Amino acid sequence: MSDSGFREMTRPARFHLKWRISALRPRVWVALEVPASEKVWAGHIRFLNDLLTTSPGRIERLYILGACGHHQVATARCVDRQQAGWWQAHRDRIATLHPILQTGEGEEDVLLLVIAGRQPVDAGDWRSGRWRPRIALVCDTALDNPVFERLGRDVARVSQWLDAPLAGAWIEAAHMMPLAWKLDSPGEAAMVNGRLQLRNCRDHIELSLDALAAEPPLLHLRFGRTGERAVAACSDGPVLKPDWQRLNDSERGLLAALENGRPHPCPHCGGDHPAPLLRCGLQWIEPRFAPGGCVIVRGSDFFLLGRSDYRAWPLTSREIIAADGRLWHFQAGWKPGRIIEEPLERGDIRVFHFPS
Amino acid sequence: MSFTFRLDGAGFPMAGLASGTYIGLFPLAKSQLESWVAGMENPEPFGQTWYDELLAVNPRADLGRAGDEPWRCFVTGMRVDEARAFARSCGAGYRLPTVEEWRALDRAGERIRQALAAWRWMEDRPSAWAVSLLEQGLYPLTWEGVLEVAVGGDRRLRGIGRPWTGLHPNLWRHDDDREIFPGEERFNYIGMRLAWDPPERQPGSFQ
Repeated sequence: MSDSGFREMTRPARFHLKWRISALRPRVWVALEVPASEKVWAGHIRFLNDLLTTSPGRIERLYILGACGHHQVATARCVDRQQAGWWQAHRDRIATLHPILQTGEGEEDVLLLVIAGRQPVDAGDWRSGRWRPRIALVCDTALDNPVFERLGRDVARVSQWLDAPLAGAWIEAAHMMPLAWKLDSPGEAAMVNGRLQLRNCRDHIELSLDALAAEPPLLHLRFGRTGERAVAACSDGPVLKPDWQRLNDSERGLLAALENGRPHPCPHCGGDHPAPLLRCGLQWIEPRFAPGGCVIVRGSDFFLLGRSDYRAWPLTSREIIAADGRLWHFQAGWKPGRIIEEPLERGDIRVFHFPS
Repeated sequence: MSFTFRLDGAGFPMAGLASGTYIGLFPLAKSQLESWVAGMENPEPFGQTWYDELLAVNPRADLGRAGDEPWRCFVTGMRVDEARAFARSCGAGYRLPTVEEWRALDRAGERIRQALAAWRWMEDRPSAWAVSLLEQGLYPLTWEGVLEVAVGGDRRLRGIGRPWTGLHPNLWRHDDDREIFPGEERFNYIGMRLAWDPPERQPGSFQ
């Protein structure tokens, strides 16, 4: 592959993201089948009312399977008032999830409870993807191969499904390397196995993250003891295209000398600098950035992260991640250290963190 | 000749013919029908019980999983009067294509393929199903697909198109139109396609 092709395909972007999740309980939408049978319909309504009584205030929206638009139902009385109208307008409507899930695109912390006598006809369209673990089917009928979890008409079990406690929260993305993060809500954040793991979060999460990654990092929330459901929460933030530039021969020689711990002639002051005395070298590479930032080097490309107080995981001021996925330490020259599990990118990439 | 395209109300592409009429790039897909019905305030008679009868003769494929039975992506089993009623219920300007319009689409097959490549259709947010069918090359399906209900020169409903042999073994010429009888039976190889007239071509227009 040509060098330019390599650069296009493997270039990580830099993301500044913020998450603010006020309630660590996912929102609940209910989708109600309006069947041809009045008896089945009455059963659906009875179950819905039981659920509203058992889990008051949990249902945010009510949809009719296969119809556009939604209703608000705070109490069983709301349902009783409107159910005759729903029956009249939607009786025997083709039961599809599509209009509901299309509305819910981007609504990442929503659980959908489908109350029906059958599996929706387009259920199989959603058997993969993010919705899959967030849909449950309340259905008496035994289904050959249900696409979604089938809960049966046990209100207690359904309530438990809806109110499962937060069992885990983490941020991850392909080739993610957090540069800095700030947790403004109770809890702790730490990098574990390539994920930014959040622990001891209580009723809300407020977090900002600056990271390099191949795709936008997502916050995943897992509820319940079994871990069957993972809810990924989106966030907004600018995506910065790293300003990759080519190293010239002298720069490449300089960095090679640094990596090998050899003294190098400083193009800034002219004298020989022992590694890792880089200030002059860095100023010469890119005068806009004062020392103290990171330089990520990949082959003959480099990317300056600039002046910062980044906690460049898992680097300290005297470490690099080298192409072999190993963490190298500077102790009178570069010494190989432990193999890190998730380097930014395996392959031809090195990350330097310069001492300030 | 260049083609214009538009998406129908279900997010499925239609190709503009020289006459100004647009015709569906595919026979009516199941997901397309479901989207249309979802948008209808009163979808009768196109309810679940009716749809189950159609699915009984030709089960529905899941998105991207039709495998070697592409016909499962498309609606078949409609009776001819249902096909006409369904097209009309999609809204102003929608109807069944004429046999001649169907043939015009058939003749334009290769040019449509070329024009599609230049159409930035993803910007119009097509349905995921439409994208999947386009990516699989399942259009315009005039050479092999389903026997489609279309309007003949005498305004009577005719059948045109050659069904997949997996659906209905046959040696028909794909562009021959044939008699198609209204009846109660549901045939797993009879489907339809939508046509749409822009407002200036619709009856009652002053233009």
